[in-house]
Amino acid sequence: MAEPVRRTLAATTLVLAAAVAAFVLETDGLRAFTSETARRLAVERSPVPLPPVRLRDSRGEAIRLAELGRPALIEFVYTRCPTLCVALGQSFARIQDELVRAGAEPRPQLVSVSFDPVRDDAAALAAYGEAHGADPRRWRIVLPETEAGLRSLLEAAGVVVLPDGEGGFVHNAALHLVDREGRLAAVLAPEEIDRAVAALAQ
Amino acid sequence: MSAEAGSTTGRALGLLPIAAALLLRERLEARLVTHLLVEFPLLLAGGALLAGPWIPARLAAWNRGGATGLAAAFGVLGFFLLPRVVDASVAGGGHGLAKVVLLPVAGAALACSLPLLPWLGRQVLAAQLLAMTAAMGWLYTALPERLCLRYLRSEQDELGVALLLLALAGFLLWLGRLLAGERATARGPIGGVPSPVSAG
Repeated sequence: MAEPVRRTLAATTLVLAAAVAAFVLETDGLRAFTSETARRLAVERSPVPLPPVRLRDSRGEAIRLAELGRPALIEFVYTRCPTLCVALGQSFARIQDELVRAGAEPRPQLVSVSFDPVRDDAAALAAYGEAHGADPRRWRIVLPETEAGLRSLLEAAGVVVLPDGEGGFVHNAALHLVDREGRLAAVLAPEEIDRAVAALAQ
Repeated sequence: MSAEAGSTTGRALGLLPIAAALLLRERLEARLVTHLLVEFPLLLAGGALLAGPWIPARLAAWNRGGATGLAAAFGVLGFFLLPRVVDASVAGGGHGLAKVVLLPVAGAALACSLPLLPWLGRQVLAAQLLAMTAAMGWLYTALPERLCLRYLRSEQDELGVALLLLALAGFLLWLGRLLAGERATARGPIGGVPSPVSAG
């Protein structure tokens, strides 16, 4: 074989090996091609500490995720949302029903966090809770007390909120499992009800 | 102006698209379609112009038929088209920096390697790229979920339609050049471009 052909074969093999290595590393072993999948895998590998943000609910009571003392689920919503947040609210309603059916002690383990401080006042938060049958002993509808707190919480959880151009927002639709230490321990799909209920019981 | 001076000026022009991409970066990355179909081509074109179809003799021996350069260029391009890398490169940081450095390098690799690829190889590559562009366009319009967290679902549609139109335009151009090449060959070979029949 001619020398340039041999060299080209060697160089091309090296370049292709580097490209394959970059693809494999960047996609977590070809498992995560999108940021959302990558976020779920990263959280499951190593829980992410969430900032100790004060969250105020529709009744004016302040809570912190790390102070709940039990595993909890959080979802990020805005109350005017006609699509994703309705599905998330329905998931929380089903999880609440399952907890009641299982005889779980009524403690706040479901937290809907609004990311729309402009429109989601206490009345809007209360209306969202009412519409989904939220029992305040188990399910709180809250808004971070400060915009900086909201931003840090969204960033730590890997939630991206974009204006949809029609007055609403587009955002990740997921159930976020927070452990007793207030760390994000898993990101579940809204339909993973059984897994969510089992995690809350631990 | 000497040919050498002209070639240097031509190469220096490569800085313009790169500068434009960097200056307009925020605006271009605000939409998926301009991110991928304006910023990417500007960075690639800048690198291609800077390099020109020139390759040092010492390197040419490692790039027979343009194989190494093409593998590098498409490896880089494929990597930066991964949805999570598209997201990460908008957020800035290492991915954003790597993009503005490596896409011009990919453009330079293309410019150095495409002329070395045999005629038939160029046709196969063009057909492959057109098919992939059309497939990507269809995928972006057909997938119900958002691939990139930093862009809206409607922007995926926009990109998909743009890619389909690009594939159609590329196909028509490719077909036109093939037919024109065939006619030219029928009259007598011009510029050494064989017709598909003579190439086969």
